[in-house]
Amino acid sequence: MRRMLQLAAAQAMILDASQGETFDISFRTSITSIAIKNLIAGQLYCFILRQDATGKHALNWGNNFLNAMMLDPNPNSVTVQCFIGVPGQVLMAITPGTWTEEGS
Amino acid sequence: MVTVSGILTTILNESDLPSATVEVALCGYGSQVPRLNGQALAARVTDGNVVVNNVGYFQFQVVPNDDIEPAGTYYTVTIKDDNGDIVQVNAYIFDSGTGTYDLNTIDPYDPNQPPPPLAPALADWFVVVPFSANPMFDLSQGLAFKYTLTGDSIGHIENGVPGNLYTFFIVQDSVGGHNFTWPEACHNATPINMDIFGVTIQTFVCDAIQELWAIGAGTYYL
Repeated sequence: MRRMLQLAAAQAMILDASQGETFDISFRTSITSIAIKNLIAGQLYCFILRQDATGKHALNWGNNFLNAMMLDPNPNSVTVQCFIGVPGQVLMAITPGTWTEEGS
Repeated sequence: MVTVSGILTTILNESDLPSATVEVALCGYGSQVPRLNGQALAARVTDGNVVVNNVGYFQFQVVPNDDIEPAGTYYTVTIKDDNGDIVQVNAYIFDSGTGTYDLNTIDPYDPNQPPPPLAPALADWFVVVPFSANPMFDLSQGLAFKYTLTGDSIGHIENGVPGNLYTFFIVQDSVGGHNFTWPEACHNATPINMDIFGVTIQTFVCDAIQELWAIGAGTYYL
């Protein structure tokens, strides 16, 4: 079974992959710096990224996130992006992400 | 790490062990290599022999067994005399909650026990859901669900676990052309393949309120 962490966006974030494999992040501000530690190679990690009613918050994926898609800027939208951990504490996107307006 | 110590003369009830040595090894059941955070652990724990001082005191550090995957590992502590002959081998389990262990005061572990149960096979998480006009996918029963359409139907889900990934295999029968309405809580799903024997595969991630979000575009197979 997988574990989920619900987090609020902050300008600088360091995620701990030893605490969960799915990260549900609500955006009330943009993330200008994000990193992740304690990755396990071969594990799948998913990100559910939610804009608030204002929207237009941005996410600057850090250097250890490869091939991730942009965050949907629309208000109340939900962007989902999944990665696989690879050696070297790097996450590689396994598929293009999806996005939709919440409630649709 | 946990710290383990002992005094040979007490453990062996032997007063004269001028050149005794101690070796520590990590053991497990089955063919899986013991791992810590995904990294393999060597069976030989100590780099050379553990230092034993002139009064027989020794100390070493090991990874707690409850931090090691798969479950069921244990350590062996081997004591050799000055001829290199083994005079005692005992097994121990060291848990992270204790922190330090004194081998003079704890009982060895008996490894001659049934191995721990294996993790469920992946097939156990594959559920075949029978056809109905309103099928319920109970997400507590599996991680992958196969559903064959013999008519039109509207899906429903229950008991999703936040953070889990769920994959649906929606299959058309020999007639094909059946409609499948994804459960209302499934967002951004791919329209299903309507071809005869067409298969649509779609994976979702579950959020905290048991809504499922597609993690990528679905795929079609014939």
